[in-house]
Amino acid sequence: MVDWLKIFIGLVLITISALWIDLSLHLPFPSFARVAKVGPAHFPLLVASLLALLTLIWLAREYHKKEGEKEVHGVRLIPWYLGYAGYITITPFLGFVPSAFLLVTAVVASKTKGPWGSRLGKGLLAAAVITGLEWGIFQKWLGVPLPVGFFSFWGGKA
Amino acid sequence: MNFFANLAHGFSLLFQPQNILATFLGQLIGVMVGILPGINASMAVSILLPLSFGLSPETALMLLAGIYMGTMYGGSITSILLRVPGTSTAAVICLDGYELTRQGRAGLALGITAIGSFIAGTFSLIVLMTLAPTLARAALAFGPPEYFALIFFGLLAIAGLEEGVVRGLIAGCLGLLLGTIGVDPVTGVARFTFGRIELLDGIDFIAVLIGLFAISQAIMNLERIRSLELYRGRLTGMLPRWREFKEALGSILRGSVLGTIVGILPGVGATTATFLSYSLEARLAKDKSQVGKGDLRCVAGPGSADNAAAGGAFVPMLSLGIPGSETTAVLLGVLMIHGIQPGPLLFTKQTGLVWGLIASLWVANFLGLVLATAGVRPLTQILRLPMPVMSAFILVTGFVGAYALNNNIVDVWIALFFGVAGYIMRRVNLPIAPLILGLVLGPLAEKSFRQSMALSRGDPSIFFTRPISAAVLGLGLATVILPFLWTLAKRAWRKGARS
Repeated sequence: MVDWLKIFIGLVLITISALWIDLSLHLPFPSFARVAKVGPAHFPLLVASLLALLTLIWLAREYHKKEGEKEVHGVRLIPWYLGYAGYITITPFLGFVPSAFLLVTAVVASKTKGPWGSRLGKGLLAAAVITGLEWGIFQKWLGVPLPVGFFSFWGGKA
Repeated sequence: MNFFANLAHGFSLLFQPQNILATFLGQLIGVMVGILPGINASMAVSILLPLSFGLSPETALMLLAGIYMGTMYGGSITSILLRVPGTSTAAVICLDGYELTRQGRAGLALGITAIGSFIAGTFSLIVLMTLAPTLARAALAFGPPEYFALIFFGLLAIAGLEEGVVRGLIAGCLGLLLGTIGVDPVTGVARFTFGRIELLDGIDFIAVLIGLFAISQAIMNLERIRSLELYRGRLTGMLPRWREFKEALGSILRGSVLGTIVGILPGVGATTATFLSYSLEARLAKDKSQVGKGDLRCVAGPGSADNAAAGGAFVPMLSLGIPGSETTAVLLGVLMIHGIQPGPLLFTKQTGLVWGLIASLWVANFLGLVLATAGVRPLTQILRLPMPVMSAFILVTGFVGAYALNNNIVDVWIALFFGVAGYIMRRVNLPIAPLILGLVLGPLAEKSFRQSMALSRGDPSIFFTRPISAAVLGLGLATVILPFLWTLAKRAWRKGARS
């Protein structure tokens, strides 16, 4: 049976190689005669060509083999990845504390068992502990200016 | 300074309050991480790496190396008690370890694994202390071709020992290509930045690590890992009787030697060591019917091999600047973050740091023994923590960790991108370790390549005409070609036997 994802990934890898080869060919390509002139294109060109060759061998040999991670279907992960992307998007506007609070509450409440009230309670408790811990360590102890968004009363980077 | 003076200096550094605290904390976190299924050493070290920004290089390295060593001790605990490997290194320990638990000998299995791990850790540390400085001294004579050959060897070795050489090499090449992004240090030309200012400094490899190890795994755990029941049986008889110890001693010693050798090989890692040790013990077993049914030697061997491999992995890391495993690749990154250039000069220029780290590994090894025996019952309480809470914690820490690199949201997007890539790589069976090795060592590989080509005025035969470089390259090629030839020979032999 053909593994279409593998073929797709193979094509992506070949595209990356082609892009790298093309961009390398547009870089200065001098001789090796002087140390300062050893081109910035040689090494990436070599590696990209090797990557393309290896990908072709890989596809030719294994395009029909379905293997690797089987326990979790990728489709089930899409909402999680999209949710995390949403969290990254809103954090600069909403600030680290509220958005992290929301993320933890959502994750814990949706994945624990029991009635909704109890799940929400667990989510809020976990969110308070985790957000507080992260904020305390990074903002207060290490001095990382975490995004504050529209709310600036907890200090950080607006 | 001689050997003992260096070690004494290392211990004097270690016994500063912040360093001893970091070692203890690292070991404690490591054992707990080892106990938790779905979280491994690379993930824990990547996620806690940003914490090291606020620490001195010595303290940071002691904390993170403690985590690495601790996971080796912790990984076998859930394998033995619950038949759920805490780490991939402990996967084979399940087979006989859990059978011993079913026979009511869980205490013995845990005790012998902890003692074996301690002996193996001690052995690998002795090898580290004696071999690494010698190797570093020898490596001082290395020129650019030798360095390039060494990195090439590392990539080939890791690819050769993965299931598919081609897949390993693809991942390695991807890592090398990612390493070329940014301003070229020689000519100052911007390469592969696609006009983005954020990429001029290259891709921050910590963001890549956080994505590949932490985000991708944490999201997968949300759909995969179920919360575990705690072990409620008796845990007595952890101190083995002399007869039992004698039965396991040979396996422990074999595991120690095998694990150390495998650990020293660049990029191979502890999982391979435990699988090799198990297969060796299974072959050597006098009563083969007992293998898989609670053979103490099949627990003692792999249980020792993983700790030995962890110690052995520090040899190429400290002496040559080449990581022996995924986690030591991350530890190399810690050095770079603090502006310390890994390589043979580390032993002469950063004596305190290196010997302080070695001293901390000694203490961590002893603490591991204590925690993995006396601390089993309280430490396994961490399994009560629901996986969604753990995943949420990792996701938020991943965000903060990536953001803290440059106080920039772009690094978090990079981490997410590699979080997706991590899942896809697992799904199509492309190994992650060679990518990390390629990314970390890529810039050094390119620098050595260009210097070598400049030395030879463009003649690539320089890599084959210098004896050390030729030997290392030959060794690298052998690691790829020999397993292939071995498979062909086995097939031919089977065909011959059938006909």
